[in-house]
Amino acid sequence: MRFLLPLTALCLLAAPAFAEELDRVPPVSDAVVKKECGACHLAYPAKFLNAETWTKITSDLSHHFGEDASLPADKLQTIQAYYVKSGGHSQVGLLRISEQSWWLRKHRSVGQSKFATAKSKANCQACHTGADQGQFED
Amino acid sequence: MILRRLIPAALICLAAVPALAGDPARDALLADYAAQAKQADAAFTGFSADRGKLIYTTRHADAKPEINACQACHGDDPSKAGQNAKTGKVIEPMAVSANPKRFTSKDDVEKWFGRNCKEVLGHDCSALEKGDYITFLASR
Repeated sequence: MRFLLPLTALCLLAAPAFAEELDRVPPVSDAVVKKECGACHLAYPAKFLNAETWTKITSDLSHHFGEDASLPADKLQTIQAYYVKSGGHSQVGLLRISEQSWWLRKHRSVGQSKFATAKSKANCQACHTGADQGQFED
Repeated sequence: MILRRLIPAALICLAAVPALAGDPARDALLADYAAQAKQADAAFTGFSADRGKLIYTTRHADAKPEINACQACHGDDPSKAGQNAKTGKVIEPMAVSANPKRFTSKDDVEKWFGRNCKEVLGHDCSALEKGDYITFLASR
């Protein structure tokens, strides 16, 4: 028992607590965000990036990772406000969710063929069938 | 007496019109594009599903290879679901027969023509092109 407690504590500390937190996140709750962002890819849960990064991304939608995703001002404002309000933590300077260290760690063992089937790392739902409900445990 | 017979007949005719013409919002959108097309070219007589099909299928050498035609993302058969060439997301069918909601929101239609015409065709679509395109997909 004397060994077990510190060992458990160590294990708990070592576990990437933050990454586990992201296995289940609130799905996007705003109808405009769901519709507009979700038109081309999963409407990504706000917790995947911090408010500052969301602001950067939504401030330049006409150059959105190589695509013109520009939107009328009223919709943009709604989207920006939602993500800034609901954002989580992320590494500074990395705009892509799939560049975040927790994302890379979690997908380390995923083979190339699986990514090829999904077509893109943006296509969470190809493997995470509950992604639109905020479920990424699988 | 004649009037008494005419009224029910007229009612039947009126009731039959929407059924034949499809969605009122789509019809209004097409009427709007038709007016614009007529203004741009007095010789305009109507939209053509054949010209629309050509827009849907034509490949554009100047566009990014993975999105060099409408059908690159929307599929060879518009009555089936397509897939975003970049993100892999499934796109609901374009053909109205398979997806009756298509082309019923002016905001949505204008947003997608605005983005995709530039990206794929390399220019803003004219009202004639938009009307032809919708007419083609409404016939599918």
